[in-house]
Amino acid sequence: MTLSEQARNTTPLRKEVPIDKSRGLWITRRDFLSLTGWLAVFAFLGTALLGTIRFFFPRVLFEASPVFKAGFPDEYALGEVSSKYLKSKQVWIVREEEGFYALSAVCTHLGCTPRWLETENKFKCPCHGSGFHLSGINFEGPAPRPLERIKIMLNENGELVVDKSVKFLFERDEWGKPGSFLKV
Amino acid sequence: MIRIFKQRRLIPVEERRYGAIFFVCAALLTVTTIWAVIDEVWVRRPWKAYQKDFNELELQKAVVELRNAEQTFQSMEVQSRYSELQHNLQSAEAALEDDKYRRLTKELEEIESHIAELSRKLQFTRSESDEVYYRYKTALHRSEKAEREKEQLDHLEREKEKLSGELANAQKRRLTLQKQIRGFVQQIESLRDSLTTLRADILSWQRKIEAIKSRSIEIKQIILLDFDDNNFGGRISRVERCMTCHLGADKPGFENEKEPFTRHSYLLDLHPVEKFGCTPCHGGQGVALTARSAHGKVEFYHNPLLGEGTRERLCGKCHEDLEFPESPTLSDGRSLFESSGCLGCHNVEGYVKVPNIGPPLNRIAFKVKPAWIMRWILNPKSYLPQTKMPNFHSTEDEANDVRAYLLDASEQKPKPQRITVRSLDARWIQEGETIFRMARCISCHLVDGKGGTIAPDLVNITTKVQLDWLFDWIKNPRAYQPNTKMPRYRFTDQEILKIITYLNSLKTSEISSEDENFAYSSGEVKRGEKLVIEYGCLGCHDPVGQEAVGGKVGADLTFFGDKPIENFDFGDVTNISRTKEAWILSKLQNPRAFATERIAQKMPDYGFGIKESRAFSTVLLGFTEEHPPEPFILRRQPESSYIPPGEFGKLVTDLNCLTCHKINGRGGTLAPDLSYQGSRTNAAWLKKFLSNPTTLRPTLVERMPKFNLTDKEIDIIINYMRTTLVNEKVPSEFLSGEKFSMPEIEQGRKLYHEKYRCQSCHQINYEGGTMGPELVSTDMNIRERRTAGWIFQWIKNPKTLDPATLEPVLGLSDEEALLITKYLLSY
Amino acid sequence: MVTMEKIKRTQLYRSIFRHGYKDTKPNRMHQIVSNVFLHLHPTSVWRHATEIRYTWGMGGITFLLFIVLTVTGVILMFYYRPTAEYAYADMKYLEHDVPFGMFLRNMHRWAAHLMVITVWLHMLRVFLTGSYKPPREFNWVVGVVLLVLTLLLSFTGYLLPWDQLAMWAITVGTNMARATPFLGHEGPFGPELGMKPDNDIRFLLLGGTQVGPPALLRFYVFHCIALPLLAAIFMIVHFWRVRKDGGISRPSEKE
Repeated sequence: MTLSEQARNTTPLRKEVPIDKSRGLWITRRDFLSLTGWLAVFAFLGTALLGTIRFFFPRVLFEASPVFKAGFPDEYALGEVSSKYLKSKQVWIVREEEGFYALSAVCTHLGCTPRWLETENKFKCPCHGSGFHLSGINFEGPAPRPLERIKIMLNENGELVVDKSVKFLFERDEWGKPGSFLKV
Repeated sequence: MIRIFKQRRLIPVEERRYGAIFFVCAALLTVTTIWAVIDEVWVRRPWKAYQKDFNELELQKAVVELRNAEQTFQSMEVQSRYSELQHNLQSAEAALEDDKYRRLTKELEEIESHIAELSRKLQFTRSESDEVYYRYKTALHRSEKAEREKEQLDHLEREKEKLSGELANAQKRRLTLQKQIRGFVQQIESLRDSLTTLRADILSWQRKIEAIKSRSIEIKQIILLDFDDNNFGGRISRVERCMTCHLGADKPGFENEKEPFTRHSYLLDLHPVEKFGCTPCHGGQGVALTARSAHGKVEFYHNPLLGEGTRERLCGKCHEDLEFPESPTLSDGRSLFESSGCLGCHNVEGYVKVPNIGPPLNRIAFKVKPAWIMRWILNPKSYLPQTKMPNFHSTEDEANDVRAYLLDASEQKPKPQRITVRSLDARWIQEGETIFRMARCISCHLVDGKGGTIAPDLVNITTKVQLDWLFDWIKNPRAYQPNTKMPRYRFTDQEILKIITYLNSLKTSEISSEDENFAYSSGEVKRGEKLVIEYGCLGCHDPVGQEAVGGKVGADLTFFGDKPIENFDFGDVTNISRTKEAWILSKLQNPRAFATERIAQKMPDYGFGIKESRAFSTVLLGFTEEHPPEPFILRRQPESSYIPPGEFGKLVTDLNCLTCHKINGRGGTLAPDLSYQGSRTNAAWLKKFLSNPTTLRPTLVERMPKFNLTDKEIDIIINYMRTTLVNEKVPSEFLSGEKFSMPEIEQGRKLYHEKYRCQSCHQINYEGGTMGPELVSTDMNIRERRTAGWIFQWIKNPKTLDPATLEPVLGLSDEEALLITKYLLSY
Repeated sequence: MVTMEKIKRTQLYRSIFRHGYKDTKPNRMHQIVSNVFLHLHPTSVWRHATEIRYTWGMGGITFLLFIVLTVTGVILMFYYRPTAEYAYADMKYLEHDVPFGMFLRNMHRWAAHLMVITVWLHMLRVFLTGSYKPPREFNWVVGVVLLVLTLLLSFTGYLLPWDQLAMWAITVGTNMARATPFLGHEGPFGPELGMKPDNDIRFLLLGGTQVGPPALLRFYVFHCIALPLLAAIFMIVHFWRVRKDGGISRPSEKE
């Protein structure tokens, strides 16, 4: 006869004792253990969920730096709209009599790359025909707002530095802010 | 415990309770979860705390700077200037209230809108005109009449012209208006600018403080594109994150902070971190973010951070040069490595090719005495302490066998003695010494502990070599060894005999009598050949006879630095630490240290000390598989292939000028570079010097020897120099025949002594510093020696003539340089 | 309490939870049968099937580990690129900068080691309790297949860190395939059947004649898709057969 068979033949050692709720304890020991156990499980699952969500936001990126050097100011002719960094960085650098500004080459309509039309003195988006003045102000087509200007400054060597992560929006009256225009 | 389980078994299986077990497991789970979070957020992210500390530190410094700037701003003079400017600004702004200004701005506004209107009209007209032009042309192509279109087109063209004219006028008007308005505004703007300039320091520090405060705590990294090799020959990028903690490395003002905030030495400016990263020079694991792991102090990491004493190990990955002031240990190690002939026995793939360092032995029987060979093999340093020949710790028998082989294989046997030395003739000895001294043999040779180190010590030379050989050698060294460094002096036979007599008188040991009837057996010769091959004699010496030339006898060192410590055999040595460094230090100081009775070791004893061994370990442990991409590597400049031509060339070869002098990039560095000698030196002085070289710099040991040149030979040399070895920047025939006036000389003197204070380095008549060479003294006069053109150009900018000179570039004007030249020439 | 009752009466609640927790036998059965996750369980088990010391719970633990591995593995796939250029670097990024990356990678790694151990223990238990005997003989075979799949999963996962250990372990491991009878170019009858290094079973495994970038990609696909899918299918069969062959094994009931 195995032990468990023995066990079945004897009377149970523990008896169900009716719980007397009036004795002051609001929860039995058994329920307490079970409750804390489940709490632990859910705490774990919650932490795991949060941790997993955090996992999807990496600490470092391997993207190209938004800051780039754009050569020396004297490399730009007066009145020139330089498309030198159009392909690699999607930025125009404009040299005016008083200084420089950088325009983001992203159409404010649906994000195509406009073209600079020298003869007509305007930026023209090939997708839906939005047109922008040299200053970046929109004047035709569906574009709802002017092109964005980008931070441009000089470093200690006197080179132009463009920081694409800082934008200046005309409609928020930011074009006068330092960095939106580089005086020479 | 067991009792509890036994009792538990008595409970029917379906009635057993697991609450306690469940609770314990749940508790464990909780603890683990908390642990994981702590580990992730704090333990493995020490850089968060470092960045916080650093920002605080930088903020403190910036606040101090800001206070200083504010104090300067508060000072009386700045304040008074500031209020003055402000006052001016107010009055200038008041001027804007003027009616004229208002009128102008209003007109400008009107003209602006007028221009906009006109240009829109013009654009529309242009478009219409384009359209009509198209219709007109198509009509013509269809051979239709197009009168209507023509009419329209003409009308539009006229319209266009009119509009353009109006537009141009309006634009012109706008320009004038703008100019006028600018006249008003300009002053205000410039005043505002000056006001800002006064506060510029404060503003910039405030901006800096703002920037520091708003800085986020993040991992900073640099990517070295395609820097490493993967296992399949492809390039992979290297990621460097050292600057996540080492935040002050490129910041001025952090020189004295503790690590990891210390500023890097000036070498960082030469190797900008964006381009070179950190680990290519320092080692370590760039991608890791905790100190131990990032410094590569983890198991199996092959490239740990280099510490004190090993820091130069990786410089050589890119810098192939031998002389390299920034890494003295590596430079020492490399020159030792090359000059000790290590590459004769050890292969290092990709290392610069270095020629054999030992002399050829194929005519040794003719040259040296058999007894000496024996002594030499047994202990080379006992005869010549400076020799590079290592001690093989051979037994007498082995040395005897090798000697037998060398003598047997020698192509030229000793001749019956022709010459004798009059060893007791004091007059001959004295005359011999005079000739020896006059010829300045001690520029290269060591005698009585004095002299140069280019050539061997001559004290016991007559105990070493056969006298006949010595005679032939001095007469014409090239006849015996075509690539020798020894020049051919134009001695007479008698003079040579006297020199030999003198040298013979110097000897401190006696000649063995064994030489007289020396003999060897064929067995000895056979054994000797085997030894010569086995011990790698051919690594330094050219093959003597018919030995089979095999591979290199030593271990391949190409990837020595990568060899794991487990592959190093420490033999029976137990008292040193089990590291590669300790192994190398021990091995080089005592090459047979790790030999056991079963494993023999052949590497001979070079007598390296601890300093040399350290230098070697820097070189050897730098031999690793890792190699930076080609653009990073600075190759060693190949030696110039300049060959002096013609008669001059023959003389240069015969006299071995290039042992000491450099011409057009080829030759030694002991004596001055002769590439521009024709521009530099007056022919007359040169002639005098070559026929009897006087002592130019008395403190130097290595001096120009007297070669006993004929006048014809001297003319050949001077002619070649004057026509070919010239510098275009130096004007020839400069100031020749001119007379200088006293005021000019006086002006020059003032410039020399007062303005530029040349006397702090140069001597004139024994007055002045000794940093630079003397210019005028009893046996030296710059006027005689240097050409006027050279002096002039040198004073103007010495670096154009010798880029390595210590003389500063003072930036003199042509006029000043001319005056000083004239002053110097007046002596 | 009243609101809870109200919620329980809404159609939305009742459409999701069809049965209350009323402790009656039919309801308990309903709860099991109508729950997609629980319905693999029998509605009632033999008394002694709950005896832990008889089964050690090894099959269940192995299955739990498989789930852990699947979850952590899928998460790791978001950062790991199975190419020669990136694989090793991505592992390093997981280790050093990705949030919880090291934790997840270690969880995957230790769970994998543990799963191999628990599978063996499970098999040992089945053997010791004689549970491979009829009527369970087919499920033993399915179990053996699952064991092999587990080992293969472990083996293919070994290459993915793309370090020296991985390279050489897989080089050695796949070199064994050279000696496969008929299918390996060094195995019995292999050469006679035209097996060469570039067309035998090892080539099929590696996608090349040596452990290189194609092998990495191949092992990645095996490890992440093919083998887990196969294992899942066999697990379904395995669990199904446990039910059909008389339930979880237990001490004999011949009282």
